[in-house]
Amino acid sequence: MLRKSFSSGFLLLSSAILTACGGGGGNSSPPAVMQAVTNQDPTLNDVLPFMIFEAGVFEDAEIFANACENPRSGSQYDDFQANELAEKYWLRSWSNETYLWYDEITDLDPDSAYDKFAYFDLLKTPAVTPSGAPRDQFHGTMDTGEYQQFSQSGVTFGYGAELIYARNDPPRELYIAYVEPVSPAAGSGLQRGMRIMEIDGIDLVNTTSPAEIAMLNAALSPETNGETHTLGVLASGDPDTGTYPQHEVSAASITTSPVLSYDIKNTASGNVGYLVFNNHVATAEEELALVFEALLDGSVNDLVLDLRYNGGGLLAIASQLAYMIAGDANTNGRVFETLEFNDKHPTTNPVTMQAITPGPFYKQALGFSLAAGIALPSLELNRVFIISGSGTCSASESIINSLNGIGVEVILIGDTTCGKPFGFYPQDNCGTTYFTIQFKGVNDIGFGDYEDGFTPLNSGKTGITLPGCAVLDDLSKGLGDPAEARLAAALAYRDAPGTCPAPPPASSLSTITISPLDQLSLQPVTQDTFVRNNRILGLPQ
Amino acid sequence: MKPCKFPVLVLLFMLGSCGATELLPAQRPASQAGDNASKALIEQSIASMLNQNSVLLADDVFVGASEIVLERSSVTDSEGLRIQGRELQAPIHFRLWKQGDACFLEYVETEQMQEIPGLSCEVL
Repeated sequence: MLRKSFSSGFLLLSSAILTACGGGGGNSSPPAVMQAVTNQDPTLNDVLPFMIFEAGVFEDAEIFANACENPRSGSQYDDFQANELAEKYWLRSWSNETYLWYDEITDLDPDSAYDKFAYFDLLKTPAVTPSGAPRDQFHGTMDTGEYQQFSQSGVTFGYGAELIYARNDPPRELYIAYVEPVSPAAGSGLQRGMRIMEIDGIDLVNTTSPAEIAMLNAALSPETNGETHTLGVLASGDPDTGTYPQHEVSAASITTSPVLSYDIKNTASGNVGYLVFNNHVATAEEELALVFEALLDGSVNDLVLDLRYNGGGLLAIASQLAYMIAGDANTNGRVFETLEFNDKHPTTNPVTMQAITPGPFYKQALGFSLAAGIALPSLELNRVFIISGSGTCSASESIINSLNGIGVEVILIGDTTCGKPFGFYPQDNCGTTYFTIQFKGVNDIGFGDYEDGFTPLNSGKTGITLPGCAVLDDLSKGLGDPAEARLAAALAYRDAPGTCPAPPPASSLSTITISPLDQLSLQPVTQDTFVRNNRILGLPQ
Repeated sequence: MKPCKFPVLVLLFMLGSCGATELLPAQRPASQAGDNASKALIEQSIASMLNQNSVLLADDVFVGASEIVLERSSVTDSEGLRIQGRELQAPIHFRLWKQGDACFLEYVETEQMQEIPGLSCEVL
């Protein structure tokens, strides 16, 4: 067990002790407690009882690090016995040091009725974005043991179907967005656009029974290899007769395809590449390189990049993909993304303690899944069509922002992106991993203010507008089908720039409803692809 | 399983000193692609080298390949959006080796090596 000692610079606590003991003035001898503190190398536990909160005065977070109410055992941990107050003081100081909007936090006394989780929930900005949404929707915690789990790249556990909710209260509308090609879902005949009506005979659409909802959620979040459930589904376009074809699926380890599919569309005005890119995982490095080689061989002169279900991941993969689109001429000497921390850290990353340097467009493999140093192919395009949705997030938005920053035209087809130009280094303390926004990613021209997302010009939504068209997700057609509404709009826009189908009402655009996450409690079940981009069923309000 | 962790170079030196057979890249036989027991041995070894309780691997892990790449499991919020959408931590790699009848797992980034008793592997 480690116990931390205090330096002579620990003035606040020293003065607190003096105050608590009635000392600190005159010529009288220091009181006994102070003698003990000054003569015996005081530890955190010696001084915690004497802590006096002073708003705006912060101790070094390191002083409170690993001081735990319930320390973990094991040589890999530096935890030592303290109390919850110490953990809250650590949260307060750590937030003050690294939170992007530290100066917008109301400084609250840690010695309050709030437990550490409730206290942490308050350590964020109350500001809102131009659309009125909370600026920080990304504040949360998770059990460290669960957060730190590793997976083989691209491997998830579940059925291999990605779901989206159009409505999450009765009558619920839950659809299959896509299925992984090699998966139990594909094997059982499940397809994009199917609406799930029942699971194991339980009415998913209408039930209000808490017990049934619990069973549905359990089925959507399998935990055991081979766990089997039966889905009753309604195929797109079929009439609802009340009787549904049954599909039996068993949970298993699924090897997902970051590039779900790609194709070359031969048009009168040239070949157009289309690819569905769903996940910035390490295996994407090799897959993307192979796909871009094929697109080069196919002499494409335009690209439609489908990111509607891509919530981000490895930022380096986004950089490589942006390079493979734009090529040397557009990216030489340019910045992909620079991380900007709060104004206490203008030059040094406060987490890694390394100098902040602009992130480049990576032109070579980094050894993730392709041998490091291999030159990546590039299409050398000056414009790209990107299909987007509310699930287009983080690293996916970095692709859009970085290309914009170097003058590559991005034509956005679909819906407003999620609006997350921010990031963080997850931080463990005492067995809890905390997520607090620490940096903003800015592009070559220093822009990164897209908190309300990027949105097509005619969407009618608040956000950074880009040329393009607002188009609903067309679940009636397969991804890559030229008749699928978003791809069709991209191809039509290409032939007649500036023309779009009639936009849907702004309120009907999003198929994934984003709700405030200020009380976020992350759930490990979300590693399962079957619920991964969706939600747990909620009890009726 | 008793771990014997040491750097690859040390292992190679020891093997060379003892006149042992060569350490060669290895794979699981294709017949083991759906074998949960052998997969579990690999999962346990990797988890122990990472100080984790478990890791998630494909059923065909190391079938047809001597190296795999791992990364933090994707975690999403209650709305389905990925929590860590800008991941800055590089992925990690593990390699499977065979020497004589023994199979070894290497954590590439740390050069730690660990034998996996009971695992059957073949030279790739």
